[in-house]
Amino acid sequence: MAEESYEAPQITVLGDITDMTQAKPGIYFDFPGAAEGAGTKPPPHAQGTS
Amino acid sequence: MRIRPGSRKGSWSARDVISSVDASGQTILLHLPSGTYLGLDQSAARIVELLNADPDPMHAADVLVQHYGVGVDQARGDVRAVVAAVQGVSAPRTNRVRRPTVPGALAVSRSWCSMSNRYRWSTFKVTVVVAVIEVGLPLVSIPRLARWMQVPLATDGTSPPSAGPDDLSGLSDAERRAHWAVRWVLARWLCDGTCLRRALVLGFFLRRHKPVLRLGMVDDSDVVAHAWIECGARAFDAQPVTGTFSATPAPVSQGGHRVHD
Repeated sequence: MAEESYEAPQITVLGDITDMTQAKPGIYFDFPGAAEGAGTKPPPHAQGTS
Repeated sequence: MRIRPGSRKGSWSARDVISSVDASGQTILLHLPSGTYLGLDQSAARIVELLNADPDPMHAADVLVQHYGVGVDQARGDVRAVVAAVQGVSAPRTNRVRRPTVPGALAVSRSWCSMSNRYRWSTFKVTVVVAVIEVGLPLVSIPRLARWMQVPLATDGTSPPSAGPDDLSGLSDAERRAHWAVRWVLARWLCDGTCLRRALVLGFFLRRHKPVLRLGMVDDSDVVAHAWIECGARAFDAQPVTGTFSATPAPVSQGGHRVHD
């Protein structure tokens, strides 16, 4: 008597690691101008010459 | 060409696979040599678990026969099928390179020129490292590329980090600038500035803190994975995940598909 049910194994290909490992919605920007002002502005001390 | 280190096809190596569960409780396997995510049903997950414990396919088949009452031929065939599928399947990689425009390039140039010299230098260094990663991604496996970037892939079981803003305390000024520059560069990069690229490049610039790369499934209905780095107890770019990918996946509490003896 089988202890648990068993069915033929099924494996689904989900994707490549570089395609699927892309969490955090909103990280994509239309290159390049759209990225301006998208939360990645330099901090205040980044302006001017050091 | 794609260099694929790891086991010879046909012989199982537990080091080649790490697994986690998605939001639905399904086991997600990552075959490291090919860099392919696979969804496993209950039976496939059980067979992988058996093979990780003992790479002999005959042993795994014997357990199936004893515990599930399936025929010997079916059990051996199923084990062979799982091994062949895990080792033989490779997902196509999408090429999402964007084509820069002249106005866009000028806007980026103006933004870069408005920075201080230190920030210009930081963004330049980050750009070089991102370019190296971009070259390496299609050529070598993620574990090897991560080792090269000095942010090795961690496969030990650990609890997912708490999501929240990055804690920059203890970082040098150069590391803080690099942390900022990674986002600035990847937001303007020609390829998708994915979390995997971000983790690899940020890990490189924080390498004196001995970071490790971690992978997990996003706690969402979509099948999306997340990469982040951890330096000790501190995580960078932490997001809500269902669990971390590990060589010995943690048992599924509810709704999971793992089967136990």
